[in-house]
Amino acid sequence: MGFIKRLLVVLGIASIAGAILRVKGKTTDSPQQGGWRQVTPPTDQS
Amino acid sequence: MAPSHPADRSELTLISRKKIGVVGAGVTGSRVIDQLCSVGQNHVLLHDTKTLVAQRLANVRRRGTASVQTASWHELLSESAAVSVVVLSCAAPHAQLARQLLSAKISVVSLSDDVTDVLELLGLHEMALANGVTLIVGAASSPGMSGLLLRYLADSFESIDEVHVASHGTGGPDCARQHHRALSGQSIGWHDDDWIRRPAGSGRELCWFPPPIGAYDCYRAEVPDPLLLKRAAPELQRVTARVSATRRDRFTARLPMLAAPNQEGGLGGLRIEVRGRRNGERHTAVAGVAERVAQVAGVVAATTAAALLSGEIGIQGAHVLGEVALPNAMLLTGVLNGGVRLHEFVGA
Repeated sequence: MGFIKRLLVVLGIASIAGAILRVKGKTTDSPQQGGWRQVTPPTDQS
Repeated sequence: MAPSHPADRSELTLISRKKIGVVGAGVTGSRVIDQLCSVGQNHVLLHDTKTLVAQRLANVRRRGTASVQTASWHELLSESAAVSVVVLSCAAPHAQLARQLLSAKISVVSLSDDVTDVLELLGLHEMALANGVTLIVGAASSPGMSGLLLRYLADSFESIDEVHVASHGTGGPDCARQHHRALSGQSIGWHDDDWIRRPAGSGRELCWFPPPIGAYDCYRAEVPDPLLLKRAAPELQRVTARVSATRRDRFTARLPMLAAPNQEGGLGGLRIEVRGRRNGERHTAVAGVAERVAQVAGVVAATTAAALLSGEIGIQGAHVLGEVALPNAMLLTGVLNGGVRLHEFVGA
């Protein structure tokens, strides 16, 4: 009985934490542009 | 008018010693000659152990004002040949040839990409100093172009601590054989103030090269890039080098080459990733080129040789491209003017 209670508590805490992260969490979009760009020759003669 | 003063005579001698020698009439050697002629260096002496191949290449390249002549090894070394700089574009080892050339007070540009050979070449520093000439070690694509790109990227950082190089493709047949050997040896890497050795062919990493090459699996290999890049930038804490390889390449690496290599590999690539601090924050910059490997190697070697001849590289002793003491920006500009396109990765 004690084991089931502990399991329910753990699942409840995990659910609440997951819900908070889902609502409050911020996702960053992966870059949709960019990549290889040709570079012009450097002009300084150092 | 004949010079009357001894100083005038010495000046005349210096001016007349304005020839470049090229050893090796293979794919890379021919690209070296092309580039030398395109930058106005019209007097080239060509040597190859296969005399017929050298004569054929000299005949093909001898047009307009370009004077490409074949020479024996002894003629190349002789005072009368008036050679100031020799580009070693033949198969490694180069150390023995370089030793003879330095003794004859001729500067050397070596394209060697063999680790043992490169170490021997670097050991000729004192000899080059004693003879008042310059030895540039590893002036090809990788190493060579990798050093120039390292310095190009490093100049935009406040400090750098990591460099990771990857290359794809091979030049001529000798380069392909070296690539085959490199996958069966011991890779060298610099890791937190110590040289580490790992089996070549291990450490798979997916590396993206500039278009149109794209992504290739790259593996550790016995290549001299870490040695030379560490020498070019002693502050580095981690240096690795990888080459692209297929399953068949790795499986057959410890066997003799099963088929003769192609006359020239296809489009190759080089990418270099530099990590360090920029504007007080951790930053990574990636640059690369996509071109035939022999073309990149030939243009880098020829540009370096022309800079030696014109005195733009005045420092004596053994050096590697990317060292602060060398005019790397000027050399990179020369290489890019030679048709090699530089790409930088942005948006990451």
